Formats: sequence, structure tokens, C-alpha cells
Amino acid sequence: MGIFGGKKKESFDCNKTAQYFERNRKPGKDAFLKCPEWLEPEYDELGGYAQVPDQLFLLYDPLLQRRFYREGKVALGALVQANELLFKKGRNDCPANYIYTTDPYYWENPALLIGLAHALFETKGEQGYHPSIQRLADILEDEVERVFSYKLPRDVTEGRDVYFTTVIVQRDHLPYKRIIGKQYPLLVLEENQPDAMILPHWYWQG
Amino acid sequence: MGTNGGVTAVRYAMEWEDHLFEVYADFGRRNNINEWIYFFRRPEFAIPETHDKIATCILQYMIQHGNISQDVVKCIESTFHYAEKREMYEKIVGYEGMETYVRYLLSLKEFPPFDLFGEYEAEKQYDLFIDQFREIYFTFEAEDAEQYREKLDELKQLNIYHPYLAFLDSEYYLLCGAWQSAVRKLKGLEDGYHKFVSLGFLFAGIGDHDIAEECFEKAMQERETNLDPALVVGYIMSKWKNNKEGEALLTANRLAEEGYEPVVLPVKQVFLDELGSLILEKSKEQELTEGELLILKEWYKLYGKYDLVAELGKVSWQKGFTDESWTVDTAEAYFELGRNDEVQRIIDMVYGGRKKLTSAGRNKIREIKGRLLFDMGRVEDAYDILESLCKRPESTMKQQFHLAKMYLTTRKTKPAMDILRHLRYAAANNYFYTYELARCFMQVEDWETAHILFKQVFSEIPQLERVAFYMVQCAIDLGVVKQAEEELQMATQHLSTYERRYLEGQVLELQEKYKAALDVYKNLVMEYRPQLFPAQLLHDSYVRYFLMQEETGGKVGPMLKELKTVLEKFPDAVSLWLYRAAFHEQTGTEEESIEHCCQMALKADPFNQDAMLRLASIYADREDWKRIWELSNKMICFMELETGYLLRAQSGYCLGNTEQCASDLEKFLQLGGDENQAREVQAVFAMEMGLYEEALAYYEEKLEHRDVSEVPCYDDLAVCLCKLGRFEEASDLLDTVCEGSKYRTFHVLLYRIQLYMGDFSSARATLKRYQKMFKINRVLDDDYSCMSAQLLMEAGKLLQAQNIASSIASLDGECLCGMLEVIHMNFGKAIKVFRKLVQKQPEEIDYYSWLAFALYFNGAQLEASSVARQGLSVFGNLYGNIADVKRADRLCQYAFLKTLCGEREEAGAVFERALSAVTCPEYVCTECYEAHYGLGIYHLCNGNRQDAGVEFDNALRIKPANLLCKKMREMV
Repeated sequence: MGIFGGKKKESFDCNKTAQYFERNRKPGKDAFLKCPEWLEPEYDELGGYAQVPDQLFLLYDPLLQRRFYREGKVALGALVQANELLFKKGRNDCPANYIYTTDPYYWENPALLIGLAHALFETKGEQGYHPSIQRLADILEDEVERVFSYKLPRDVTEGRDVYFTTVIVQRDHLPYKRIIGKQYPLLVLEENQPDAMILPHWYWQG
Repeated sequence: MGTNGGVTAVRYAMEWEDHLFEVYADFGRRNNINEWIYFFRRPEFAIPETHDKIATCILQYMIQHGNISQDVVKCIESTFHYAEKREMYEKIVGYEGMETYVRYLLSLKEFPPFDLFGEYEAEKQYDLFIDQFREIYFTFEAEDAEQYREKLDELKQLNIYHPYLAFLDSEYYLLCGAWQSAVRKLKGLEDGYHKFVSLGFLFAGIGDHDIAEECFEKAMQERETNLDPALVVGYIMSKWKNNKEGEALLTANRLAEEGYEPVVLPVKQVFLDELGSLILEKSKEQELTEGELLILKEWYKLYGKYDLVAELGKVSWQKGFTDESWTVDTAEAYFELGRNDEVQRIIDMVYGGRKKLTSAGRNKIREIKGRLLFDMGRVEDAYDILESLCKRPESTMKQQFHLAKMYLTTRKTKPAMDILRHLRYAAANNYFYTYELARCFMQVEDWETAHILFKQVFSEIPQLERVAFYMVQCAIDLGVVKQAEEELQMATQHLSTYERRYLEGQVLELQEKYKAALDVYKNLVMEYRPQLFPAQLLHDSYVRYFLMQEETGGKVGPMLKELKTVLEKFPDAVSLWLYRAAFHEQTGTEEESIEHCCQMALKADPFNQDAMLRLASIYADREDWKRIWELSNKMICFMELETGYLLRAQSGYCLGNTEQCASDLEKFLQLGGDENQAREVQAVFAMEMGLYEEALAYYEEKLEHRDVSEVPCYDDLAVCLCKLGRFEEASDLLDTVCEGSKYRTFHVLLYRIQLYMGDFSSARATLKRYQKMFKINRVLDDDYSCMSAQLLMEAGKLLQAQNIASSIASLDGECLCGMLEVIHMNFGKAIKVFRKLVQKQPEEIDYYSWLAFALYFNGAQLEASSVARQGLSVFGNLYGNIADVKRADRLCQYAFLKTLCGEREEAGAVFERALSAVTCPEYVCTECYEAHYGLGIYHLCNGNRQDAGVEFDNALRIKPANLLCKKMREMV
């Protein structure tokens, strides 16, 4: 037992977390994402947006948030790249790129997923990959492009379904309020765009 | 291998190209089916389905031809590249591009054919043989027979036998002057296209045109998809040289209609020049035969001397010539001369059966009729004719080309593109088709594709009118300075001085040298202004000139003055009118003349899409549905614009013409219209018809598919829920949404719903959150104060409401004060307030109602009647005849005024209409409170207290907290 509010979980077991989440789907007030100020759109006098908001803004739709908790699945996510602010203590919530899967094979062998995420990160800014990977290399280089539920080519994943996505990392949902590890449980709605959010740490089960 | 294999695959670079190169470079590997199967197993081909198609196609090719030529491999390589840039590929080749490409790939035949090599011997250098063979056959030009012999020996040293070596031997004999041996060599070959073409040219070369013609004839029978231009020329010339001028002419015209126009025209010119001059000489001494006159007519036609063609046409009728080309060409000549009455006369003769033509001739006359109608502005009728002609299997390329050009004129770009793509496939050598296709891409502002196509045409025929200009213009529009500079340099000699200077100005703009660009345009317009030419470019130069003035800090006043002066001189300058409209819009000057500018632009160019869309937006703001309906019909007919269908659905609905709405919306979606826009319209229609469940489904779908640029339609969804009586649900939904949204409408709507439900404590909490979230100053924000006052009033806290209402600066505050006085039954004070309001805002009908109401219950019934009449007059001006009004709130407004002015019989009927009308879509009520309340007042005024009581009860059932209604009920 820690001194301040109990020991936080840094690691988790995907199977146990998924089972726990299934039993406790009803979200508390803190489970919903809170839109950071930099993502808040402004409205014009006609009632439309003054500028097209960031695609991630869709995540803050309260009904979508409810759907995440009602219909979402737990997936194992591996960090590909994140805004470097997220590795330090701070206030800002920022975006990050993850790959995720619901395939039990990777849940049993998370190191393989982390290895794949690492290999993808290595392509950043490089040229000459075959088109579907080149697209990811360009996205990683660009850093601000938003991509959701991008299915990785099956020959890279040995025929298993693995997706690349952009999420917004809400610090309140992480233990220690910053990125520490390389794997995270995500809550995903595969058909939706945006398709994923990090599962709040109070759902994590070791 | 584990996921490490996956990681390796991530690192796997574009090795398929290397593999393909290996296959391509080696005859043995290329023709080994296992190599291909291995190639297609490469991991990257597992993804797009296109690759599967190509794989099937290649295997099919191998089965069909037994082996694969270098050409085919090259083709495969480009196909894979295309497949990666699928979008670009589809744009140029068409949506059925891959199928077209596959057909093309399968029809490719190697030269020399590989299956004639005999048994494959691994050590032999087949590829070297093929390369050397092709070089000698296609490109090598020997100075003498000896040099040719040396080259041929070099090839034969490879020790590979191929029967087509006979072509090279034959060429050698020809160089030696032994044409008989040359013929013998060729005749020894198996019959085929190449044999007949070579023999044809051989005999033509030695002047034996009879046999040459026969050989070309056989070659034409064995023809491939796209004819070799040399064969087209040889075939026509052999007929001509063989003294078959008429046949040569007919063949030339037929091939021209098949799309070989650019090849045929120069040949026609050569022999018509010669024959024409001879016939003219002859005509001085003796009368010409019909055949000679026909040639003369063709000659005049070729040089655009339509007046002479028409003259010959007259002669032909006098002499009773039978060839139907007289009728067709005379009609065409009159059409080109703009003598529409004469064209119409000929059309009438043919249609009336007084001139008998074959079906092909009649179709040509129909085509001319279509073009005539188009020129007369009857676009729809013209399209009917040409579209029906082009649907027939016997339609000519010329007819299709005319239809495509018409589409291009009316900006119906997509169908124009479809036709031109098809024509380009059918006649690959016809650069006119490529040129027009490029113009289509320019029209849709796809500069990249347009540029590629213009460049193709420019490389073929740089002197073609405006091709150089368009090519450079596209390069400029692509925005790459260096490329634009280089292309301008390259094309300079093919540009007119004006074009060059105009383009130079734009390059300066790209370099951000706006001052220098301004000088270029200024000099251009000053220099060319007096001669009003070249019109279009001069107008465009003016636009750029004004834009550069803007860029360099020009002052609005003088610019506007100059712009007006220029437009007086050039009233048909479409681009300038549109510029002026945009200028007014941006600067906020003379906004009322935007409509005039757009109308003038449309007058000069009835197919201008920009002007139409701007006008539609102006009319939509004014809810002028009739004009939108007219405009949308034009948009659909002229350019088949998806927005046209959407606008027609909306305006049709508002005008009560609901039949076509569904099909218009369907068409809007088919043409690629935004699905959410369609859902929005469908939801609005459903709401207005009272089909709330249906509307709810549309709104839910809309939310599910919403784009990030759209504000979510929670407000519409909530209203819809309210209409279904699901107030709690609506309130809960908006409450959740408002937690995280800074969109004011949601907060205000939630407050309104809570107020309507009589849930005052929640409404108060909503207002509090609203004030906190938007950091509202409670004293200075009128909207907020109004809501507060209204909440207090509804909650019965009249004194507090009065305090807040009296502090509101806007007229809404005064109105609230007046209403509170009415509730207090202080009619005298209320009258004062509403009198002021009527004076300040005489177009607000509600003020008349309140004033008349207060007057009536204050005993001044005569004055109340007069005020109500004034209100009715304002109502008439705003909404027209009451018989056409459908909205419940407006019907109530009218009936209320009618009640107070004493015309009660009509009032009762209109209130009844309001009761049965669909409730207004923007309110949260489920049934019309106003109608019951109004009927209560109506019965009260009629002295029918019992019925009044019933109606007030009904009203209070809907709004239980309404104080005024309560007081009225008490009064009853």
C-alpha cells in the first residue's frame, strides 16, 4: 500500500483486464475524456466551426464516449510514437500513435507486438518501403496526420489483424500521469473513426 | 519464423521492381511460368485486388500466346505503377480503366512473334536478336545496301532462325534495286498484317498502285485495334494514285469519322489541292460532272469555305444530284455560316420526307439539328437528340465528339470525360481527343492531370491552337515556380505575344513579385484595351490586374470605380463580373449588387457554374424557392451538378412539388453528393411532414457518419425527441452533451426544453452552467438576461422577472416588460410598451398581436381592431395568402389578429387548421399550445365562456405553468 492513495498499476495482464472490464463496463465520471483547451474548436457567427477541428475532437463526443464503454473491446496496444511531452510530468494531453490487436496470440506474446511497433517506428522518414508501409512511414514522419484503424499488411503480422491508430493520451487515465511503458490496454471500437482510447488505469488488472 | 519475419517484411523495400527487371531482361526467365508465379507471390501483391487482376491477366496472356514479349513486361511494370497511383490512372484511362488496360494487354502482339522462333535453346541470345531485329526494321537508316548488309550479317551471326528475317532480306534487295527478289522474299511469308503492309509499300514504291491497293486492302482486313498511321496514309494514297479519287475520298472521310482525322487531314489536303485546282481549270471550259463537283465541295469544306459549299449545294438541287452528302454538307455549311433559317428549311425537308436520305444521312441531319438547337439555347432538346444518336451502335465518333464538346461547354464535365476517354482508347492517335480531355480536367481544376495531357499533345503537335498556353497555365496553377518557368521558356515560340506576357505575369506572381506582375498586367490591358482583343484573355488580365492591386495594397474605393468603368466597356466579361461579386462580398461594399453581378455573368455565359451557385445561395438565404427551382433545373440539365439535384429537392419540397424529391436526392447521392447533406434534407422533410420517427432515424445516422467539420446535430435530435414526447430523453441527452461542449445552441435548447417541461430548477442549473462556461456577464449579456427573466416569469416570480427585464437594453427586454404588464392585467402600461415596440419594429407581427390584445381587454375594441388589421397587412406582406400558409405558428398569428379585429368566423377556421397542422419543426412542443390558447381567446371574444374554458384547459395541459393562460382560465 502506497502512502498516497494506494499503489498504482504499471503493468497489466490483457486477459484479466478484459475480463474485469467486461464486469465493470459502467463508466464513472472520470472515465470520460476531457477535451484539452488546444483541441477545443471555435464557432463562427453562423453556428458552424470557425476552422475544421482536429479529427481527434470527435473522440470527445459524449455519445461516442458512452459507446466506447458500452460496446468497446479491450485490445493490447503498443506505443509506436508519442508527443515527447507525454514522457515527462505535465498538464497537457497530447496525441500518440499505437498499434493494437485483439488477437490472443499477441496477448500471449506482447513482446512481438512491441517489436513490430519498434520496427514501424524505424521506418519513420525513410523511403522505399512497399506502399502500405511507406504510408505509415510518411505518417510517422508527418507527426500531425491523424490515422485511425489502419490495418497493417497481413504479411507483416503473420496473417493476424493488427491496426495502427492515433489516440489522445489523457494523463488522468495513466498511472503516474505520463507514459512510462511500451504496452497499454486500449479500448477500441474497430469500425469507428477515431477508433481507440487508452483504457483508464483503474481498470488495469495485473 | 515468428514476428521477426514480420519485422523483416516491414523492412522489405520495393524489390518487386528488381525482380521484374530480372525477368524482363532475360528471355528464358521471362517465358518461364514458374518465374511469374513466384513473382506474384511477393508479399506486397497480397493487398490491392488490382494485382490479382494483373496476375490473372499475365497468366492468361501466357496461355494465349505461349510467351511474353518485352512490351508486355513493360506494360506490366507501368500497370503496377499505375495500380499504386490508382487515382491518377483511373482519371486518365477511365473508371473501367483496368478492364480497358487488360484488354489492351491481351491484344498486344510481339514483333517479331516469339512463337516462330522454333524450339527454345537456352544458350542462344534471343533478347539480343529481338533488339537488333527491331533496330534494323524500325529505326536503322542505311546509307547504302552494303551498310545494311553488314548490319543484317551481324544479326544472322547470332545463329537464330526466324521467318521474319525475310522482311529484312526484302528491304536489302530493295536497296540493291532487286525488287522482284524483295517481293519473292515477302511472298514466301505466311499471310498476315505485316506482310501485306510491307508488300503494299513495296509496290507503291515501284509505282504499281493497283497491286499496292490490293495489298493495303488485305492489310486493312487483318487490321489491329489501332491502325498504323502510315497504313492509313498508304491506303488512301494507293486509291488516289490508282485513279479512284471518289473512293479515296470516301475512305478518307470514313477513316476520319473513325477517329483518324489528324492522320487523314494532311493526306486529304495533298490530293484535294491537286485535284481541286485541276477541276477548277476544267470548269472554265466545260460543265463538271457530279463526281467532280463533289470533290470540289470537299475541297472547299476542308478550307472552311462554307459559302462556296452552300453555293454548290444549290447547284446540286437544281441539277437533281442524288448523292446525299449534298444535303448533309449544305445543311452543315449553312449551320457554320449561322444561317439558321436555311438549316431549319433543310431539316424540315428531310423530316417531312421531301428529301429522301439513308438512315446514316438522316442521322447526320439529326446531329446538325441537335447542334442548331444547342446554339439556340435549347440545351435540353439538343441533348435529347445527340444522346439518343450516340446510344446507337452505328453512332460515329464525330457525333460523340460533338456531344462531348457540348457537355464541355455546359460544364457537364463527367459525361464529357467518359466519352473522350472512350474515344481516346478507340483512336489513340487522335490528339484532338486528348486535348479536349485535358480541357475537361482544367474545368474541374485538376491541374496535374490536365498538365500531363496537354504536355502529351504539345509533344505531338506544339502548333495546335492554345495547347502551349494551356500547358504553361496548368504548370502555373500547379504552383511549382521552377517548372512553370521552364515550361514557359520551352513553349515561348508557340505562344502569341499576349499569351506570353500574360503567363509571365503569373510566373511573377508565383515568385511573389506582385508589383512587377501588376506592371505586366497594367501594360497589357492598357495596350490591348482599345482593340478589345483577345477578349477572354483581356478580361482575365483585368482580373489579375485587380487582384495584384489588392495584393499591393490598392484602395477599395478607386479600385471599385475602375472596375465599374471596365465593366461598362466589357459588359460580357464573365470573369470580371464574378470578380466584382467576390469583391463586394469580401469588402462588404454594395452587397445588394452581388446578385446583379452574378446575373450579368450568367447573361454572358449561361453555363457559368460559379455564378449559378452564388445566385442559388443568395436565393436560398431569401427562401426564394421558385428561382432556386429554375436555377436547379438548369444546373441539372446543363452540367448534371449534384448540388442541382439537392437544390431541386429542397425547392421542390418547399414549393409543394414533393413527387420528385426522393428521386432527386437519390441522384444527388449517385453523383457523389455528400450523404450527410442528403440525410439532413431528408430529416427536414420528415420533420415538416410530422414523420418524427423517420426524422429521428436520419439524425441518428447523420450523427453516426458525421465528419469532424460538422457540428453534431444534437439540437435537431433533441427537438425530434421532444416532438415524440420523449422530453426526458432529450433533456438527458443535451445535459450530457453540454457537459463537454461549448456550443451555445445546445445549452439554450436544453434550457428551452426544461422550461417547457416546467422543470424550473434544472433550467436554472442549465443557465448557471451556461453562464459559467461562457464566462457571461449577467448584467451586460441581453440574451442571458432574457432567458433569466423568462425563467422567472414562467416560474411565477414576476417581480424578479420584472427587475431583470427592465434592465435589458434590447427590444426583447421591453417586450418581456409588456408581457409582464399583461399578466399583471396592467393593460394601460402594456399598451404604452407595445405601442413603442410597434413604432420601433413595425415588421414584427407579435407586437401587433400583443398591442391589440391589451387594447381589447382594456376596452378599446375599435382601436384593437385597427391595430390587428395593421398586423394582418404586415402578415400579408411577409407570408402572402393565408391559404398557402402551412405552419401552425403563422396560422395562429393570423387567426389571433383576425379574432381581435372582429373577423371571427375566419379566425375560428384558421385556428382549427393550426390545430391539425404539423407542429413547427423548430419548436419543442408536441402539439400547438398557441392554437388552443388562441381558440380560448376566440371563444371568449365570442362570449362562449364554456368552450373558452375547455380550450384554456387544453392549453394548460401543454404548458401547465403559463401564467397568462391561467389568468384567462380564471377570468372564464
